[in-house]
Amino acid sequence: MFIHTFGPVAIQIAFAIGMALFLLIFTNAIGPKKYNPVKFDTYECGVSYFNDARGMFNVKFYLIAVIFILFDIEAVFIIPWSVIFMEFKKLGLGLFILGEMAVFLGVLVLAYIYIIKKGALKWD
Amino acid sequence: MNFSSYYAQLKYLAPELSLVVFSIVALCVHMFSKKEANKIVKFAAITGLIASLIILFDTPLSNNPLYSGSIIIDGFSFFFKIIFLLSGIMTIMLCYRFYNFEGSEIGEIYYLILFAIVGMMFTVSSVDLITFYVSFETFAIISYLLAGAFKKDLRSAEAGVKYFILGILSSAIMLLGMAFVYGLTGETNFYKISSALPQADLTLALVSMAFFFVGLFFKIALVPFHMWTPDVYEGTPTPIVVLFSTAPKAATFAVLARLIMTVFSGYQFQWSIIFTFIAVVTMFWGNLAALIQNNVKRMMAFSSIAHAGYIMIGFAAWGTLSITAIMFYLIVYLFMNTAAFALIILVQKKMGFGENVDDLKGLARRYPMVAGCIIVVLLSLTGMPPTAGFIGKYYIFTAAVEKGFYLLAVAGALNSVISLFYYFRIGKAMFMETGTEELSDKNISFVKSVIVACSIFILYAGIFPSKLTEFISSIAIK
Repeated sequence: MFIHTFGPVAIQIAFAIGMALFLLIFTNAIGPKKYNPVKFDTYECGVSYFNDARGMFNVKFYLIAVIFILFDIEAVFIIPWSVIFMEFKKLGLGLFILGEMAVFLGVLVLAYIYIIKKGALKWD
Repeated sequence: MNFSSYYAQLKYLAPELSLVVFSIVALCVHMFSKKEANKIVKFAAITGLIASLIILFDTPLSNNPLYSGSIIIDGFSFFFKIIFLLSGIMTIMLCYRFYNFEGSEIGEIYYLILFAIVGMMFTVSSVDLITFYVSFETFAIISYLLAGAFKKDLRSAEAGVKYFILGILSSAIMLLGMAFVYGLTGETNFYKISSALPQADLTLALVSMAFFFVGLFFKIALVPFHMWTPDVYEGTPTPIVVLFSTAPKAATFAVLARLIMTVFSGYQFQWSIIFTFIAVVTMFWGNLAALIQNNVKRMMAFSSIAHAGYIMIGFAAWGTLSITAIMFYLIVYLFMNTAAFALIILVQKKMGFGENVDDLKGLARRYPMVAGCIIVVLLSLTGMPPTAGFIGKYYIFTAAVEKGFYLLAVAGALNSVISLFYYFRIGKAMFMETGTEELSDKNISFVKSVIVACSIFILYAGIFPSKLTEFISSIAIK
């Protein structure tokens, strides 16, 4: 039962590991080796790098980032809602589903006001 | 799917919806007014809980799942909702004194408690994996916040972080178990899973069950997953511990009961072995570790672990008798534990001070009535007649004996003897030793009334248990 179900997965894993090992060893063996200082730089999309990435950030960035993610994710709910809205309207439940979204957005706005009142968006 | 019944089914959710409305009102009051508004917030929160309790008794019950089979409002969930609301009411009453000496009152905790209780109410009603997980996480995440409510206090912050990290780890494992269940059956509804799961591979079904139980056992604090309990209880503001040690545990026990009645009903032999083992280890570990504690809060944390072990005996010997026994024990445990933590709030001077057994010395001279009531509570926690704790343990052990779990009943009785030693260290300190004579401040009327009410209930349910058991069996077993 196990072999039957997970056999293809095992083959896939073995293939992935084998492929990676083969590429690493093969390119090392036959590729030309020319030294160039740029080759050992950090990849920065064309801009030459200027600092270590493991520096210190102000903790306020994290707060802003967390709040951003929260509201971003909650806004994602609006898209599926708008897609199925017309189907609900055909069933005669247009007002119901509109009210649902109004409640949802109302709670979201309350949370936003709460954040402002608490001073989470103040920078100093 | 029949969408037109959506409006009609709203009436079944009236207690939950009213609680949500009240908590949003409390949030708005807290948000739009000055610092002194905490009294109004507290008042709104306690009014919401009482209103929800009244509405709950008027709400019709239905044995058919509502909302596309995701929620069921049956007698079983009705009983547990009473426990949560009572626990919330007593928690907020105890906050009156606690924040009086603590000074820095945080208005947020009141509506967070309300939101957590809404989450628990949906948890016990849910019969669908997704509804269950969302409502379970609602109260779980709020309890991480509540544990760290005093973010300036180091121990409270430590409790919050510890609870958060261990809690999300265990709930991730539970989610993996849920994913296994879904992968094996392709269903999220508990009833549909229970008919589809026996056709699945036995090993994988048992693995999914084990993963599922890890998350639940963590919340109940059963022994291999109990490490967080003493530290979190010690650091968390004491009124919040009253909530932590009763309501989420009751909610998780209810979920466990629902799961073994539906999803894993075909694996009684296997989970019965797991529960037997866990019950014995939990009882012994909780009681033996409580013996060496000097901090009353830590002692009560281990005591709550041990009580969860007693309740697990009922789960191991599952049957109609043990359902009644478990529900009886849980409501009695609610009152016993609330009274014990109320005693800690009474003697506490500040977070982290005045929590030791020595601080209870001479309490009988300072507050004779409270000390008398606490003796009743201690007798009940130990399990001695004529208190409700005795009746609860009697029912549980009877259920075990009826199913042939003689050794389990013996282990439970043995543990009651062990627990006598540490519970009566509290009694000895209160009555037989002399300590400070000075009375603390005057704002203890709520604490006193909670302790007195709890002990009256314990005595009443201990002397006339038939009324309560009739009520339980009339709503729980249909």
